[in-house]
Amino acid sequence: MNENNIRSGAAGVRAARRVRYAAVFAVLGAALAVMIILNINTGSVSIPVDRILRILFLRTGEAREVSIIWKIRMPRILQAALLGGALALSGFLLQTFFGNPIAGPFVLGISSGAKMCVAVVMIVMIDRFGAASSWALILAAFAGAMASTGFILIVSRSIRHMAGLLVAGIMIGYICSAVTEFLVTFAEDSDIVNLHGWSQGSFSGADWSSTGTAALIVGIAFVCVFLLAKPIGAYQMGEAYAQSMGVNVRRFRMELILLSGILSACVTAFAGPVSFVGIAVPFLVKRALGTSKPLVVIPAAFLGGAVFCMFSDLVARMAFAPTELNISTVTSVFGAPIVIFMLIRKNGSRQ
Amino acid sequence: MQDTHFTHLQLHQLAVGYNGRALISGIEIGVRRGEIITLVGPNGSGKSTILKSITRQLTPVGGEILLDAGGAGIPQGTSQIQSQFEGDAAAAASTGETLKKTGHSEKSELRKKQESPENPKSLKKLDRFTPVELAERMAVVLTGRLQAELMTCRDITAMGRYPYTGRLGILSEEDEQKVDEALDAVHARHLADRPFDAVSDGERQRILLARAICQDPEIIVLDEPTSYLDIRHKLELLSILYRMSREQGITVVMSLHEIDLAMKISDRVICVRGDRIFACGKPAEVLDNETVRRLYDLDPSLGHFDVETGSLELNFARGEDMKAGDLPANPPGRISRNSRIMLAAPSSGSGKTMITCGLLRLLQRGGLRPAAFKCGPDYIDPMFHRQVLGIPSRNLDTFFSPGDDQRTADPADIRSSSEDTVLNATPDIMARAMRLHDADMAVIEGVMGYFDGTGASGMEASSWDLACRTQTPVVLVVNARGMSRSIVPLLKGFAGYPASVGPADRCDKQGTRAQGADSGFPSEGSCRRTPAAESAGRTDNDRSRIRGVILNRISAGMFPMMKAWIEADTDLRVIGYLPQLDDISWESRHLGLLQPEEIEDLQAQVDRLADVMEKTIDKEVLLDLARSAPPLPVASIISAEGSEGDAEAAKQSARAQADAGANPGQTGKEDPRAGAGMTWKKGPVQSPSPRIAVARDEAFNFYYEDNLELLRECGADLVFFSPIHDKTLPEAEGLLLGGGYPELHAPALARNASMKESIRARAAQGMPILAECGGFMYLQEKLVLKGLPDNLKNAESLPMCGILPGTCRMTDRLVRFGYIELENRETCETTEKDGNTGYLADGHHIRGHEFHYFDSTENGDTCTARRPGRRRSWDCMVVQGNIMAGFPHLYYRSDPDFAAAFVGRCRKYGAEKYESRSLRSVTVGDDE
Repeated sequence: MNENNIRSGAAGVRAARRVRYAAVFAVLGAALAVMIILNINTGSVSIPVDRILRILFLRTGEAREVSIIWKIRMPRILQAALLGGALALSGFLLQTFFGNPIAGPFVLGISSGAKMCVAVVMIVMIDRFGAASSWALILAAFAGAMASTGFILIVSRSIRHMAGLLVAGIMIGYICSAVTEFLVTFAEDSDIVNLHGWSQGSFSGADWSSTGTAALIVGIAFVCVFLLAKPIGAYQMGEAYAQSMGVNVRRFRMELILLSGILSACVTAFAGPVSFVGIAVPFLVKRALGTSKPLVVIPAAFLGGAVFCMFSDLVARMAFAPTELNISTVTSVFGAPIVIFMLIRKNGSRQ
Repeated sequence: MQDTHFTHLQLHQLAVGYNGRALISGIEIGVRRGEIITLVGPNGSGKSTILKSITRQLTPVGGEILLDAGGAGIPQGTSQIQSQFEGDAAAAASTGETLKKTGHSEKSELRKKQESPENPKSLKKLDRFTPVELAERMAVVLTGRLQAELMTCRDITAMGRYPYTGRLGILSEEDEQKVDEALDAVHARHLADRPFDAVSDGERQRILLARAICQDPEIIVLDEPTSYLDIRHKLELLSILYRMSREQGITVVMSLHEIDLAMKISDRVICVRGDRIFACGKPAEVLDNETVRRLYDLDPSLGHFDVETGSLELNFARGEDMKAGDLPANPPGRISRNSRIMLAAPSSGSGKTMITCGLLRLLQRGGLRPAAFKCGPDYIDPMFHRQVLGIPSRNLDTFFSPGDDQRTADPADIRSSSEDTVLNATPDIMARAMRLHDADMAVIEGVMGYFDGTGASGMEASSWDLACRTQTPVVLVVNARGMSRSIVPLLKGFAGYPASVGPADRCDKQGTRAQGADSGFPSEGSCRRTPAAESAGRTDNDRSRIRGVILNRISAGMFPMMKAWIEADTDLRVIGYLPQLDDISWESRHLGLLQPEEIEDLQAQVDRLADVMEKTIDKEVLLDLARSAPPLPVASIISAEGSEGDAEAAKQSARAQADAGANPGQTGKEDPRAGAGMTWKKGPVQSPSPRIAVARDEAFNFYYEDNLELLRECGADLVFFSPIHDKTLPEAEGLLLGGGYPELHAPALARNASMKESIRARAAQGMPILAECGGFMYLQEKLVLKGLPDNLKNAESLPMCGILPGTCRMTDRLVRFGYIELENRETCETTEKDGNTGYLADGHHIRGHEFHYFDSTENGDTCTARRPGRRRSWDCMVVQGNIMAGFPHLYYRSDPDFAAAFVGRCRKYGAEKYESRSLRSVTVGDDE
């Protein structure tokens, strides 16, 4: 093979890669569209397609149906998409940070921190003041998640070894769970049921104001993550190499953990802890793209997360309608096998 | 070719380490542009630490690193090479073309223009560079595997463009071209689109190098780039580096494990060892066999590194003569591991040492691999043996080896003996050493007069005692100057002795030696049972074991006549003679012979001695006698190991033996030193091995090889250092200060304040210290000299370490001397409130000897020393915290627990030290 051949061959391979990226994005886009349509179209109240279209585009129709579509289904669809994307992105960031494919908000105690704060609010505040607004719960969850993230940040200054940091995160998770369990022991039965329901995650509480807030936070975070694509790529080779290529590693680590913390805090705040999306989606997306280049993986993971969450939400709503399943139940059923598959496959390739 | 003007990287008084603790300090190296500098040194010596500091992964603990900020331009020599290279059509046709392109990138052209030769230096501190600025100048190839999921080799290489791409890191057309060029430079274009985790180690390393090249650096830092590579890939990688350095003026700083490669590729090598830069300079000037041995602390008994051939030579695994459980007598005409001979004399000063040294050299010349042993506690003669042979010589002392008392002479008994047989008997020590050094003949040098010993009979621990226990044929070296016919009765007397005073009588008197009558002492009965004795058919000489004679200091003319007389009247074989050699004399000093290091041309003298002996000694007769020795009466464990030919096994069993024989009288009783780290008993593998710093230089050099070996068997790593020449104590968890001649080097010792301070500091931290005689003196406050040579007379009252109270004063006679047995003083609890009795357990006895002209105001009173067979006893040994010190020279194998306790205490100290360090430690994340 002479040099020209190699060169043209290389160019060919690069072109083939671009085609592959385009195909993956096309499929994800199509899936997103299908999911939106299916989600709008599905529910305990069946509304024919033509009326849905009229309601969507002409804003006319029976008042009850308009409010079902606009006040219930649309915000819920959008929130599932936004938060699903955020979850996948946060998982991708944490996996990059720890160089470990099963790092995620659940594993690192971020979700547990949120749950602990929500439990405090639910049990203590309701005890004292008789009520807790949904915004109080959202703020509590956000605060808890950010507190855990903050702790990991502080620890990461002195534990630079990734495995150690992972263990620290897991330990924080245990502590938070213990506090939660402690509170639960002395809580009213109704609170326990509420807390349990919250901790399984659900998009059922979505409304336009919360969706708007989520969109703002997730949107800004997404742009920031996208702008970090270059150092993330370098960091995938390991900290030492990243540093040698001119990455300000210290600052970058802070940015990374802060962004992933904000993303997962946001999800936890609005939908409760949703498991497995953060682990399974980035993995699947990377396989599909055949690369781990952040520049393509970041948008693809976001899209993938959105599709996966909308699909899960659809299943949650419809599988045993009118009873609604918790979202984590569904994501776990579809997500856990993927994690197992991932582990087996990884071991297989080592041998 | 290069000029110091072009200093590219300057390490100035650099101290590197972790968490503010310096591992290596005082590094002062200027790296020139385009130079290849290689760090070599043992694992964990700090090579990577230095490299990490250079690449800014670690903050230096002290000093500074300066890097040329502007780039001083391409050195002229390099430019010339390049222009030559451009003219070379053949080279330009292939890889040269791409190299030329990368070499003459716009950047380096620019550098050339910008930097005028008048301002060649633009060194800037490393921490002043922004991350990107540094990345544009320095690229790295790290050790350790890279996790690169779903990345192609091209992706990895393209990462090198990082400092040059925009916000999102999208590659421009020019960047793409650079990537191609870098891949070409390492001949890896064909790998470009292969997944990185699917290519071989060699290919990966090349890709990582391509990534570094792609970064367009002026300096590349590589940490053990050849680690996982086979020889072909090593060759490829290093030749790429070489070309880059020569053709593009890229500076290469790397660490390598392969000394031979380092010597070939490097402009300079830096030898890193533990706490310091061991040596630095051109490879040919710095690296020789001895430096390599010291750098890596190679055990000469295992092998050595040959710088000339660049190969590692192994001493072992050359095949075994013996089969399992089978102890054949030596077949005629063949030398085997059982061949042995002892050289003894009627009195001191007969010339034993000299003749032994000459004989050892003679045997070596004949292609044999002799091992040398010295009877008795002497330190200096083994040093001579070591100088001649290049392998350590060991002491055999029947007083030191209590195992001898429990040994029977009957090979059948020995073989069937169970594991609890103590294995520290002299034959075992011999067998172990023979195997360790793969020796095929043992030469034992006797001590004093042949029958001169200690104990009630005056013959215990004599050369004769040893000859009996090891069943060794003896050659008597007689100073026959001024003698003629009288030599015959002298020899007859020696050879026929002891006639009536049988050692059996002596044994009966000694209650401890219950089996004595049957225990290898040449009483009539026992000797007859040994096959060798029967075949020899001699009865007289069996008692004395004297079989041959060498006549010293007689003239060539006298010899034939005397030989005839001796052979006519005795059964002794006359092996030869040695004329008076006036030019060879190893005169005495107050403790005995001069030390071999002090004799300037010792090797030449030994060679001359061997030249003479070649003519005057009948080597065949001597070998004949050596071969007549029966198999060594060793215990079954050792003989079984012999079949494996594995020195390691011997060590293991010695540990097992130390376990078994550790607490014979204390079963069921809690070990008083359980907290002192007796955990080593649980198994042979212990980690981490504590390092014990052993003082070894002109001032301190009295060490029994077996003591050092036992420490190693207990799991210690020995690190040798010099209290005179080294600045500080090396990194270690224990300190052993042996005896020697500190008084001769007292001014130098006193002057080395930093060493004293460093020992004081470690002692204050509780580092376990064991010091004997000279070492003990060194630890005390002052040393007062008297009666020494003139040049030292004024240097009175020299300050020593001052860790222990007391002043040592020179006297004009031997203060206390002779064999001693130590045990803890019964009243010790009154002197030490915490009952701290150092490393000697209650009820244990350790043997040793004292021999010194100095006396201290504080001799210590933790132990009581008893002279065997006499009433005399005295107090000795100072114990203070983890320090145990005193005048006695101890022989650890007489109480292996002693050594184990010391090593255990070191391990415990190390663990505490490590713990306290790791609490604050930050593990630097590797790529895994």
